[in-house]
Amino acid sequence: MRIAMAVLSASLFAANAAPQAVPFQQLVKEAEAARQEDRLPEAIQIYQKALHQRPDWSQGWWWLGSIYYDQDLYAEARDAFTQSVRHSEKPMPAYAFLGLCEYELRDYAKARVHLTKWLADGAPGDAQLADVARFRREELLIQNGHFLEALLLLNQDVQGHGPDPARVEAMGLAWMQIKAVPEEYPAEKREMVWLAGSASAWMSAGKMDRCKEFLDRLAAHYGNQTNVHSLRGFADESLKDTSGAISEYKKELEIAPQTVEPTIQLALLLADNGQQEEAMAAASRAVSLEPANAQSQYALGRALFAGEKWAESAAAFEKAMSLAPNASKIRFQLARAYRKLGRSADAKLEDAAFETLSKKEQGGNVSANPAQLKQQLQERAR
Amino acid sequence: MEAQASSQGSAPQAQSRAEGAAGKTLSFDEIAASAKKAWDENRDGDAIALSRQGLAKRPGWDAGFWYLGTILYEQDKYREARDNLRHYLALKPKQGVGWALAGLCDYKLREYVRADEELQRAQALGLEGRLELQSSVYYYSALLLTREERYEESAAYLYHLRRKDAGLHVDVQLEIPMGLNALKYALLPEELPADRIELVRQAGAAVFARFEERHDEAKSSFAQLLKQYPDEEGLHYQYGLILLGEHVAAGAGEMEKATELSPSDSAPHISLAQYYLDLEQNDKATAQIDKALELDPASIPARLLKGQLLTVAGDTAAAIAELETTRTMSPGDSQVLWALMRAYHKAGRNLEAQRIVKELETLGENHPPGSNPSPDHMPDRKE
Repeated sequence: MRIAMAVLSASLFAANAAPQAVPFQQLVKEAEAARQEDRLPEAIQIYQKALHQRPDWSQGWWWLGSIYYDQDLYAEARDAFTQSVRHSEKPMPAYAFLGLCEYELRDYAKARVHLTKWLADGAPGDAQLADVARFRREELLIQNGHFLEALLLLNQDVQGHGPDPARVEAMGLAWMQIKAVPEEYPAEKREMVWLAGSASAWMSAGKMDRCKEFLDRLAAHYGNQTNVHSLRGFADESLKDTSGAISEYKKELEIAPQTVEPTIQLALLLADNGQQEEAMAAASRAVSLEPANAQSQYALGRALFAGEKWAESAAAFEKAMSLAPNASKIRFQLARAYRKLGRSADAKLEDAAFETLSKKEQGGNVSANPAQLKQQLQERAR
Repeated sequence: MEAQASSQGSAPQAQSRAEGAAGKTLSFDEIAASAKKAWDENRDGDAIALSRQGLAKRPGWDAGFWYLGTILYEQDKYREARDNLRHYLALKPKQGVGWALAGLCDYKLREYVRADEELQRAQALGLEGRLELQSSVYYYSALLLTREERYEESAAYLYHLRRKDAGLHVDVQLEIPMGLNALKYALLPEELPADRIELVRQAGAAVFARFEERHDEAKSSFAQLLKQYPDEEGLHYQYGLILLGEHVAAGAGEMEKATELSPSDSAPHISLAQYYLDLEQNDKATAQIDKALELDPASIPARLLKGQLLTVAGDTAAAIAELETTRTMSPGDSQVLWALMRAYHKAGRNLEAQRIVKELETLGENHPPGSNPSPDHMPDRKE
């Protein structure tokens, strides 16, 4: 997961260049020559001398940080990149490197802040940097319990690169909902994480046969663990095997009856499958577990709609909408309920909202809404 | 199993006498000389204190970082050891021994991707003939490669460690790592669930029995294990390898069971292809290798066999194209080079064949085992 800093262009900082006093300029030349000739210990010394003269020289801090980073000297690199961003006026990849150094130093809170800042600045830097920095951020999302968001991003990575051991492990941690980075979770969970991650990665790569092999091994050894049957249910959903998915979510709820996610999924599938009474029971249970969860209300709306209870259905969707106003799917269903109630004008408004929001979602933005994340993940897996 | 990093091994003796004579401020050269002496004499406490003093005076002092890195490694202080070794390697990047110790530290710190990179780099740079360290590097490389699902490369290391004539030795049992490899469990030994330790150990022992040509013992072990664990694909595959050498139908049957349990695994198809190629049943071999390539287009053994089959069939242009591509995917793989040399020779392109021979000569025999894995897919043949 290291990247060669040398690939980043010196031109990143061209705009910062300014006339300098002769001794300083001389040092700059000497430092650059030493760096380019791979005389790195000497280059470090010269950069330090130059920066002693001009501590606000952002480019100097950048190169110093770059040399340290390439040598795996992350504490020194972090300090140099900190100075680099402090003295630079434009967004730059230094934030990514700062975050990467902090990750290596296991200062995860700061790493998360700086990698997020780098992304917010438009993720400047080359593809190699983006690959590493994004992956580190995904690992930190998992550590913070943002499992669905991480999975969606990892899914995109795997579709781009194919599965690799690091991403497999991250996906396994996310699916098994283990809030940890790979270096810090219990070794006895490794097999479960690896099997779940492999299944997930092969699903992302579109190899469902291989995915099923890992899912079967996962169930054979860890079928009594939480989240295992939810993953199997998700895979069945991706294969449009509704009855298989229903069965898996029911198994998940036997193991963990108080968890809302599988309850919601079960309610939605039952509603789609015309099993209205069971759908209502599951949706009502989801709402009782988490009434302020948009997805719970959405599932209730869907179950009521399937039971042709239009007014109650619309009311549930309205609640869902108030909780997650940017979720296109809720607006779509609300429009349907309004039409059944003869509220054409309201239905048109919701249709328009759906169109706008779904275009945004298709634009590749990762939603912060769990319901949308699940939907996006499901759709991309298909 | 730990590698001894320095020439020393005993506990530190005394508190630092770093300040030397009372009241006298030591020069850097005096401190460096004292630190070296303390390090040589296994006075770890003194060596650490002196090294830190020396580094305070001269931050670019490579030996100081080395003394600290090696002593802290031996004291199991892996994070501090690794950080000092990194400073050392920043100053001495061509030191394979330093990379080896950094890799071993990172293994202990569970930074496995980095550990693997560092151990590979150590091997590329050389370990100055330090067999004990080389054994550790091979052992941990094997574990990490299994964890990365690079089973063939991992097996090559384990076979190499097992060979008595290789001069390497590790003071741990290799059966569990080999069992993990054979059963395709991407786990380290410390990650193996307790309920499967015995299965894995016995499977590893049976694989080594096969490797050491104790065929009856290997056959009987696998047959016994399969009675207990009929759903383990790896057992069917390994048993199939043995049976193919004796009774084609029984061996093919085991391979068939392996593919039923794990339809996406290309290894049974590659083994069958190799077997049919040896029997000169080229149509059957081609069918199996095409299936293997459909499952895993990047498989080097499958591509190698495909090239060999094309050569045998006389389609040398296609064979050369296939093998040239494989060569770019696996540079320095002597088996691929041999196959390519034969294809060139058969095509009458003798100059190119000679160039390959020269390349093979320069490759020598000193490359790490994992860079040119043994063909574990080869079925056993009884003469």
